[in-house]
Amino acid sequence: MKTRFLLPAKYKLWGWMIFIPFSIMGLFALLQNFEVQALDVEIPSLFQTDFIFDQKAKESGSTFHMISDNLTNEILGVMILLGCVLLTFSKEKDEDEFIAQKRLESLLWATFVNSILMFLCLILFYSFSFLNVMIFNLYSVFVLFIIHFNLGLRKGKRQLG
Amino acid sequence: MKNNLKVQRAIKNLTQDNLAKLIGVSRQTINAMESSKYVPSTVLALKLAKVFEVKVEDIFQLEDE
Repeated sequence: MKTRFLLPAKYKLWGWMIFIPFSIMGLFALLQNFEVQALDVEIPSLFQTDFIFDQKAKESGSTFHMISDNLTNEILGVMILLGCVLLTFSKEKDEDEFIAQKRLESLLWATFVNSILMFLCLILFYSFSFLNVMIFNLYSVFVLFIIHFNLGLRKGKRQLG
Repeated sequence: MKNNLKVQRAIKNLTQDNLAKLIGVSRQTINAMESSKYVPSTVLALKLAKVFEVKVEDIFQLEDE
């Protein structure tokens, strides 16, 4: 069975190089509310329902308009996601049907554990702390897969030698 | 399902690594098949049969349930 949707193996290294620094920066940005001043821009907001913090939305009465926002969080978020995607979807160097099966098993496991995490999030966090925790939920399925799959691979390799 | 991959390998005097390279899989796959942790695809089973010059049923047997 040849698994589709997989990137060449070299992208895995890129994945680590992007994921690790950007997730550290992301954690830092989240905890310290860090923002790069140079990234303050006016951007179109497609679906703005946040009437508490956004006066412009209230005044204009519509949900589509330009808002002032800092792009630091967006860029960090996208880069972390890119790192996750590269790590999750790149082939192994010796990709064969056995590893393909392990890959699918890890994906299923990750989705299952993620749903448990989501359940815990929903019942344990409320209001703004819920939103903060949900940010981690964006990436948790990827992180869970990466951990489970790679640990499984390493265990398999150890059993050989 | 039972298998006698190890025996067949010994007959042909192949290491796990040799066999893996011959049929184009990783050594882990061979190891997993021998320890009954993985059931190969039909294509892989046929490739193994070709290498060992036997029938597929000579390598893999269904266990009575």
